[in-house]
Amino acid sequence: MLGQGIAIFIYLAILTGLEFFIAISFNSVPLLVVVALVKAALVLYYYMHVYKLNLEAEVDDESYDYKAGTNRLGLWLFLVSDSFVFGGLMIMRVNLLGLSRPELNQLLGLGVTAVLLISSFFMNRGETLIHNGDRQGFLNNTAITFLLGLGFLLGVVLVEWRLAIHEGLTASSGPAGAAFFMMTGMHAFHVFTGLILLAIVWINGRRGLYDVKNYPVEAAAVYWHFVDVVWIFFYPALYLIGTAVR
Amino acid sequence: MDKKTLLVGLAAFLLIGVVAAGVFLFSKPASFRGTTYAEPYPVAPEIELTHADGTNYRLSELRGKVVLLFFGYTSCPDVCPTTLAELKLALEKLGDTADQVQVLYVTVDPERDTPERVQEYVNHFNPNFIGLSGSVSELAKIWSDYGVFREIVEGTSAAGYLVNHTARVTVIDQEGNLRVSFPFETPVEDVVHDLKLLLK
Repeated sequence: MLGQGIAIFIYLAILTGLEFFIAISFNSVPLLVVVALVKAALVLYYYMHVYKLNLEAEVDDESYDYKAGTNRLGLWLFLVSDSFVFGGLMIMRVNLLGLSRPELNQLLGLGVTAVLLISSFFMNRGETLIHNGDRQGFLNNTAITFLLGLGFLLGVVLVEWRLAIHEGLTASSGPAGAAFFMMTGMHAFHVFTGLILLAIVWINGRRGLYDVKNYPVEAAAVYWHFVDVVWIFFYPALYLIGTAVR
Repeated sequence: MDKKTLLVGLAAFLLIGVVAAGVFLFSKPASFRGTTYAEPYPVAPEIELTHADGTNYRLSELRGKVVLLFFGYTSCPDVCPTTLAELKLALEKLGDTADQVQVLYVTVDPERDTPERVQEYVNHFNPNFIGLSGSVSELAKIWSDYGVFREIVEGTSAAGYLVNHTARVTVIDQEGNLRVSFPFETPVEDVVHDLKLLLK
């Protein structure tokens, strides 16, 4: 299982690099969309294991697996409803900006994207390890995920936002600024929420609350990967597609 | 890595490869947004006039640069300042490559526009622009070469008379051929787009 996580991470890393290359060389929108969809599909299947929704129903409705199953369904219903928020923001971006994008530092964008992607890799490791009963490994990997997530959050809010404002791109400077701050802001808020969840499962994990019964870890991990999936679409939408406008 | 994961990876890259091939096969080559001249491109008729600094100015000396040629006059109330301001903006948007583009402003009103006056006028927009004037006979040939319509309308303006004139911007490539022309009020983005194509 750990090997699979590594393989998927390598795929995602290659695709992210490829995406960046496409954007700076010939900027084909259909190709960027396909790469984003492939990345999202890989994360949804391998890191968020959406197929677990389809596990054989447990007959005993007092059992842990049964309860975890209903919890899982609830979590995914929430994620679906949450994606409407992000979908709405994406539609706003397409309507307001079309084939232009805010004028931003593309390398910085690639940097924070890489940090978030690597954090997803460690989250997957942490979740796999607690499944295998390796509590210390789970704690270490979750801590790394937390730090990388914090790095992403600070990179966006403290570095990227400050640079953008310095360059004259503000929330009220025009459609490009409005789209940029609304999209990164809503996403950063979700990253922040994810960090709180990670902190909770880390503290509870250290107290020894999880063994084979570790649904909270799975839920925090799935939520964390969901935030990554959102960024898989927001990143090309804000940093890659089209030509930069002020 | 297990076999299934490997296959999924291969399938993912294959899919992207197929889409990339499709994009390359079916995408149209980048085309100009302005009105294009058909191949073989007509050679831009020569313009030879005395510049404000006293030197003889020849269009053919601008080979290697992209020339934006526009006809107007300094008492022009509407079309000329708008167009010159947009060309100035287009050059700013080009950034570093703007020095490979030369804006040329030729008067349609030689009775009032001396070479000095035209140059002074374009300096208000961008000191790198070149403004040219000359005698009526010299200019008449240039106007007719470039198909420029020009008509004096008496007593319609407080500043004297107005001159109706063609308001297209003609683009001449590095080899001195007519390539594209823009009608009045072409969006600046379109001008920049076409200039970038020519400068590639």
